[in-house]
Amino acid sequence: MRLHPLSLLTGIVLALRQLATFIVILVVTTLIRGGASDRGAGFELVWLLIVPIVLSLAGSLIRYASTRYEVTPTEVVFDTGVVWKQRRVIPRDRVQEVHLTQSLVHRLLGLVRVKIESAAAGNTEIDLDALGEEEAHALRNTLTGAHGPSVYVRPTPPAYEVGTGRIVFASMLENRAILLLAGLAGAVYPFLDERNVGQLLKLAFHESKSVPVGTWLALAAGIYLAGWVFSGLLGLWTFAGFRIERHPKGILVSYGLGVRTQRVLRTARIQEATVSQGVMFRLFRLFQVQARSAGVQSEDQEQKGFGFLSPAATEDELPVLVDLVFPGIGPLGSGPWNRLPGRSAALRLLRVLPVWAAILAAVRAGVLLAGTVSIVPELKALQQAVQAYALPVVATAAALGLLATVLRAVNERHRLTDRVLVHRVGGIQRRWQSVPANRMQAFRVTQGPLQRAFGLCSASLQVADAACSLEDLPIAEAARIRDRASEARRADPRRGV
Amino acid sequence: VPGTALLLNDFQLGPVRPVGIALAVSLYPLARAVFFVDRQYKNWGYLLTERELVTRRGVWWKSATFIPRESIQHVDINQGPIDRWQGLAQVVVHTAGTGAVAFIPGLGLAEAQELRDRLAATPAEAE
Repeated sequence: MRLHPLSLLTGIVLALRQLATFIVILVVTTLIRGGASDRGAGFELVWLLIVPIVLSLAGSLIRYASTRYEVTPTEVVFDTGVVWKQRRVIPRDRVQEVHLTQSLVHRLLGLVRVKIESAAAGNTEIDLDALGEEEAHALRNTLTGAHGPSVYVRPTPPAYEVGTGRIVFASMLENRAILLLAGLAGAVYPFLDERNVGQLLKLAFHESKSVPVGTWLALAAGIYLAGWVFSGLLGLWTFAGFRIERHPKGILVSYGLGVRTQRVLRTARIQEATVSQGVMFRLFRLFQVQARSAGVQSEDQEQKGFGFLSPAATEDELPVLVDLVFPGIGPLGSGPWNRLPGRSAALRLLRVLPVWAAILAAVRAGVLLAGTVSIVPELKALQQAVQAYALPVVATAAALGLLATVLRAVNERHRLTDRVLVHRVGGIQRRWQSVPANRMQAFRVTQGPLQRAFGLCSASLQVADAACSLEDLPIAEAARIRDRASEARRADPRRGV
Repeated sequence: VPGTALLLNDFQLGPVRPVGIALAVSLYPLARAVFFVDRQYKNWGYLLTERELVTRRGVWWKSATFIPRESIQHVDINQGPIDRWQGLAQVVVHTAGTGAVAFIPGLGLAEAQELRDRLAATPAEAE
């Protein structure tokens, strides 16, 4: 079967978007310089627009003509390429995930981009950009084993939903004013030349004394406020309409205003669920929940395997979410937490102390050296400041660093239920990692010389595509975890990956 | 990598010192081999129980790996030129996911093949 004919248009848009920065810069410079040739700027502009459009049209025509796919009872076959022909075959029982994504252009044209991922190592995914909506949903249902009508029908109640208000609020907890400023600077940059820059510098440095402090404060506050609004909008653009539905093979997660993502996560292949909480999230009792299914690690984690279960969940929702991926384990497991003994904290202190001592010694040597160097008069104030403040500042940082080490060790917890190992780390920012102990692939214990002196060791429970590493555990505790995990693995009748 | 950094820095000083440092860097594995090889040899070990494979290694940093026998996906036997000359072999055990999990080097070829067959058989067949 071929791609949808309208995918010619999405191909052009995609190619143009990749060239966009280049074209914008060329157009702007042409406008500013007024054109190099006698025929003026207009002539060059026409070429600047026509050439990329023609090239990308040719590119997408070739792609459309050379791409075919076919679903047989046992395999998915994908052919592409003109010069380098490529055939990719994925056995249907190895299909790991089927992603459906729609950008704004896709949505306007009624198209869907379908990505089919297998569990094997290497780049083995099939990328169909784009199919018609009905065809895409039918393909997804065929591959993930959904029954019923071939046209996708949304099941009535979603298993989980996040309201728009909470998405905006949670996004605003992180102020992205810097990102906004960087974006503005990038947009303004092509229009700057020496004259403008000179004026800006004059405004910023020479005339700044004539501008009252109040104005500067108001400007800063305005930028900061704009950062909040921008963060909220960005969160809305990414996560609007976040919902999870049950699916025959697992769960279906869909979200996004700009690019609408629909992702089927196969529950039986979930490797890891992570609940995390930054400082602001902790203050407002919100959590981010992510899950990863087996697959190859790639730089773009969002694309492969790693997916949100919630961008902002409340405490009451955690059990529901964790239950979706590890059915029946309760809120982050149940039962008592195991803590690290006091000597683990002592060992960690012993490990970081020499590092901080070395840093302090280096700074002290630097300060002494700075005192002996004769320096240009303009930098005299800087030299004095370094001599006066460098050592106290670094010493404070060292004290805080040591405190953080102790705080982390004191706050570390883990617990092993009959199905999952849950590991909580972080003194101020918290993270709970859960891995399925019943699908353990290997268990590794290591012990360095320092750990041996303290009777401690590091243990790592490895599943197919994730690992839970517990550092500085008592040896008996590591042995207990190993025994219970292998018991859990034997008790699981499916013994899956 | 630290060795490389040293070398790069010293190129500015003259042509003699990089050579000396390169020599020192290349002698390090030799020195290590002489001083550590017997202890490393003594600490390598493996144990195959009816439920799992346990491998053990390390002198300063000791580690032990436990692999449930149902988790084993495939088993390789590797022989380098020196192994072939001495009639030795290395057994590599893989589980699902990426990367090998356990290495058992320096076995006699016959022993390696026997271990491979025992590992590849399902535990029920092995009993």
